Amino acid sequence: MIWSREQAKALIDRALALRKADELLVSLTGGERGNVRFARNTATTSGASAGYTLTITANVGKRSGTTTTSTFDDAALERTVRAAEEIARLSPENPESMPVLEPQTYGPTRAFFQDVAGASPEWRAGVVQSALDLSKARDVVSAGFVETAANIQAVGTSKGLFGYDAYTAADYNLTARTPDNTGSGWASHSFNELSKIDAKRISETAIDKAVRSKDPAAVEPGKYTVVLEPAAMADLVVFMMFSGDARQADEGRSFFSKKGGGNRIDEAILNEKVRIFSDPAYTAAPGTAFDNEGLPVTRIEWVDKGVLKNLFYSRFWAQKQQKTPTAQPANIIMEGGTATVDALIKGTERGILVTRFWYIRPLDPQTILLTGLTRDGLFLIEKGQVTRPVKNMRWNESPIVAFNNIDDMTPAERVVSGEGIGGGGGFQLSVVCPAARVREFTFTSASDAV
Amino acid sequence: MIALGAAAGLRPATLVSGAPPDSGMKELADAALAAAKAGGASYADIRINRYRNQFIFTRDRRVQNIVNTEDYGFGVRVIVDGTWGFSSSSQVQKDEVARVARQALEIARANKRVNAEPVRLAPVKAFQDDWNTPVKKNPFEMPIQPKLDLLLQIHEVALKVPGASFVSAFMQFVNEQKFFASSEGSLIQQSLIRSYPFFQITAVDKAAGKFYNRASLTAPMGSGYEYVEGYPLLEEARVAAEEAVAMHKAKPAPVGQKTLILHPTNLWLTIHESVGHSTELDRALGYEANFAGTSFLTTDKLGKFRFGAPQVNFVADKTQERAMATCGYDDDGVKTTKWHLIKDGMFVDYQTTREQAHLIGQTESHGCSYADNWSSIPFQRMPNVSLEPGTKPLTEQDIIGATDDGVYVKGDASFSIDHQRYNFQFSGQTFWEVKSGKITSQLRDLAYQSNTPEFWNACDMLGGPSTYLLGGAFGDGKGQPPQSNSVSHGCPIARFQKVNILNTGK
Repeated sequence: MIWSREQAKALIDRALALRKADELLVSLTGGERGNVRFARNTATTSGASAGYTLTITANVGKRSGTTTTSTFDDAALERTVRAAEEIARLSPENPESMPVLEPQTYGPTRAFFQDVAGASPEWRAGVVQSALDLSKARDVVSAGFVETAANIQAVGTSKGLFGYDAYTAADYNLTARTPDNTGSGWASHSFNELSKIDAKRISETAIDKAVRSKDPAAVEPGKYTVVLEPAAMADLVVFMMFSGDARQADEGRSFFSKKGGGNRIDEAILNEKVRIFSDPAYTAAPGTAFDNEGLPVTRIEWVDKGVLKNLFYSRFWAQKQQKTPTAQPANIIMEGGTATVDALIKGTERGILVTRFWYIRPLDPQTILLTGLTRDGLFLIEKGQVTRPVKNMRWNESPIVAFNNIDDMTPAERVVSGEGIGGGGGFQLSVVCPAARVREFTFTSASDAV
Repeated sequence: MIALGAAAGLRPATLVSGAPPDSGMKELADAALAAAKAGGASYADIRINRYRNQFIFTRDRRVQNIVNTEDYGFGVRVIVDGTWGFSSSSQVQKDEVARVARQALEIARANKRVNAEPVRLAPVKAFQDDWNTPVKKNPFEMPIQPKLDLLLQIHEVALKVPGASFVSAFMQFVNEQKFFASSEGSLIQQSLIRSYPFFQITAVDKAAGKFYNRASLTAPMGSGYEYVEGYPLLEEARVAAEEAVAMHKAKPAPVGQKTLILHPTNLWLTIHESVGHSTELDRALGYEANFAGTSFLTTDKLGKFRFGAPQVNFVADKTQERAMATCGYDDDGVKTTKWHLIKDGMFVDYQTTREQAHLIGQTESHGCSYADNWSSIPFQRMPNVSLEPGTKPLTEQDIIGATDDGVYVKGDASFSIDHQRYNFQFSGQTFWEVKSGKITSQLRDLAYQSNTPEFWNACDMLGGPSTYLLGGAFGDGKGQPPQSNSVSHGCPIARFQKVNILNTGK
């Protein structure tokens, strides 16, 4: 059983009671997780863990220090609090230091589901068994991962703030490969509720992609119309959002900086079809109610009709610029359209269908130019039909360019990106994204990887 | 000044050189191993580990935060009927140890029905030993003030350069205190220390709407604070600031095939991605197919595949002084060692663990098992993988002097490689045009792209031992759930012919 609200509050209160510094911020994170891996059509490793970390930040005037501990007896708590206070006293004053928060009002959340918290090793092994049965029936070799996790986050301050949230995540992802190693397919899903994980459908999607992607032929790198499945779109959205810090923009060191000074809020930066927002109440992506400082997570419009509406403001920068601070969002939602993936393909004269991206890294922060590769299912579209599998390619492209070149989208869905963002593996960021057809996407070199 | 270690009030390190095993640890280990044996385990081990970190973050002449972390817990691993089970907890108590051992047994039994390949461990001697990173100045036992002073001096030096706009700098120190006991009689204690100073300088031209970053060329090291003190941080801060400013007026990178010279501060990362990962046996066999990927170096190529030019030799070495993956024993309890992966350009061996050795007909593990936390399952992780220097004592000047038309790259930046380790693309911190044997001007917006075997076969010059440096990283990611590995890669300056150069600013 993960720690209850009462247990978390009791520990945080014990730490706060030890305060000698001006202020303390105490947060508790952790929980329980169980997982099983499989590869080569057999289970490999499996395990469980239970653990919690208490983080203490002490403020002495404008000086601060932070310590953590995973041991909670009286002596350990005393040592940890004293250490944070001692570091704070040794540290020079930081004019950017912010006081701890007073009590806040948090909205309701529904991110915890008992069916995930109670999932057994037998349930996880059952998912593996089903995947192996399907893989053997279709003559593919599968590797995958099943995990269930129940976590808490709690925060308290010496000014009386207290918050507690519990959340769960069930994850299943699978890569199937043909025995001759010329075909590979992947699918992944993550949700807070076990009953929403359709393991059979995930397995079938990955296996089907593997079989269909066998014996790919090379196409010349260059600019192509692409149909990006939601997992590929998700990485572009999230990597763009990673660049959305307001301070970086105001300081002139971001794509979102305005030439001559300031930032580009209220400028049209993307195609007018694009809307991106965060909403803790969004049912397909339930999140937590507050961030690690105790700041309430609220609904925020990032981009509406292609116009930049907001950037991430830390508490310090928000105060300096007289803006509202932005809590770390629990989700990123890109609104979609009404097309189906089949319709996106049908409307493509010549293009490429992309399952997922891999190893994405920034190349030029001035334009958010990224590089990455395709993986686990790349197909040529000719005259509105998927005609054959093609070999993987590297791409160098900016999400800004890609999102200006969107011409149609499917409805958005909960998704795990190729880079794993949106999964339960510690990112704590749910992603909701459509598939989209994007013109003139730039592939730069060929890859022999299958 | 109060020493931070004392201020933090951390428990005295139980793992000190030459100390007998802590009796409490031994008692806990006995409880775990007895519970595992009673539950039918054919093998069991327990790791009781404490992890300490210190981070000092500074930005624009301000100390943003100082963070000391401590994490303590244990993990129990069992084999029942050839199937692994693992469980872990942060409550390091006798009852909890026995409960966790029973949970590991339960997990192993649940997975028995989906395991078609019973685990076979290569034999290992039982060791009762301790090992500690050799350090002259333990960063956890020294005052914080010298660290703050040095970091803030970096800001002063850099911001004195006209045009330098912003500075961020940090130091990171890591201590892994590890206790390992196995049902085969091993009892091993280790204390690993790593140190890393880093800075980044940004030069903004607001009127032009352009900015350039230049990060330090420092690397994290398996070393004490003496590495930080011995590194010319202030001198490099000035140079870095000048180079960041100069980037605004630098020539755009050329495009097309060029002779490419790579400094070790850049080449280490290319080695990590193209050699370190491709020679991992678990990847070659498909164990990582669902996340990190597989490898083009399949087992049929072992001993037969020309990986690189004849002068290209790569060694795996978990004993190399100051390297990040260096330790006395791996997390299977195997004594660490050194061996060739690529010999005279030929692919000759893999990185292995006890359970993998038999899969390629070997009888001993190379000692590459590692778990990044007490709560993580040990599996095959990269040792230090390094390119041996050339046999001739060539210097940087010798290599540049022998180059008619090329580019020279220093420092690591953007890095990306496909999931079988063929196609890679890397950028750098600074780029230089080389014409007629001389560095002629600074370049900007450059990346190079190649294919692993083509690239290493195109290596035509290697610097001598005087050009050899260690690079490395804390965050080598692999596995599900993802785990981080710390690893170093040594190399000399090296030259490559006809490599595809891109301009990333277009």
